[in-house]
Amino acid sequence: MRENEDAKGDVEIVGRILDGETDAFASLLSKYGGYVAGIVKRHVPYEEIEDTAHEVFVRAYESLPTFKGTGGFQPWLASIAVRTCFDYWRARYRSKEVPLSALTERHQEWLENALSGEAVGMCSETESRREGKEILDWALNRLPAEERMVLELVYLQEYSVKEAAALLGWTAANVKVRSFRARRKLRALLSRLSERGERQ
Amino acid sequence: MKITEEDLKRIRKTLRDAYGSGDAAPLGGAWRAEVMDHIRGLPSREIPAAFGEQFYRIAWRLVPAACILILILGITLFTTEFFPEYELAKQFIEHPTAYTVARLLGVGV
Repeated sequence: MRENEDAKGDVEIVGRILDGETDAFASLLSKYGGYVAGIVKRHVPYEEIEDTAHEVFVRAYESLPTFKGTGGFQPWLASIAVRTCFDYWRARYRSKEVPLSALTERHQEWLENALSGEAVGMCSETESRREGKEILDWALNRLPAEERMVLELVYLQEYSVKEAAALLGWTAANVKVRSFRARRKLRALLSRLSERGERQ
Repeated sequence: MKITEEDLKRIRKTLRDAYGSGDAAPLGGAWRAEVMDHIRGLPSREIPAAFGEQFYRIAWRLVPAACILILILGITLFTTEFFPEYELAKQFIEHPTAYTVARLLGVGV
């Protein structure tokens, strides 16, 4: 009931903006700023969150005439946020600006522990999580933008193939194929990291 | 050590926990003000109307021109004493081939 009212309110605000009341966009910005930041935070580096979220809202504003109001404003905005993050990575890969940070022995140890089940308990510790995040960043930075996004959405955020396809604007078959390739590459990368640790 | 699909499934939760960690997003009032400034600075856009609406808008703009054209053609027909039957008969007598081609193409009666 409340969601319905919210959706109606959003549609009404969008109508006002389209009628020329630009300042009404501020209420959408206040309402969904945190939501968009939550999505963006998962996909781009911390220092890029503000700029990317800014870009999301500018794109949303420019795309308002295409908003039909049927599926609700929030999923529509989520889709714009995910696609903006995808474009961010595509641009970064194109300009070859992706940091390929090197990992240390601690990271290899973290992976060994995770594989043996020991790191699961340690994961509440900030330090351990940070190491895990660094390993993930290291692996994700070695994947193409498409596979990176699919891996994040399907494997790490547990979206269904259908949901991920809707967010990215791709077909479900495309998401499935890319998801399979991305997991295979992630496995290869982690294997390489693990083997490097064994050799040392 | 080679990591299998099973290993990947097993460490999924650990990786997910690590993935979801991190500081809260730093968006505040200043950020919102900056976005609104940007949006206000965007060139005002024409909302693309539906096809039907656009068609009618263009069609109504052409109405005066169409009226003038009809008026001119009407006056021309009256002043030049144009009779379609006569022109057709003339065409048949003077250019029988052209008349046949015109008939085949469905032009004329």
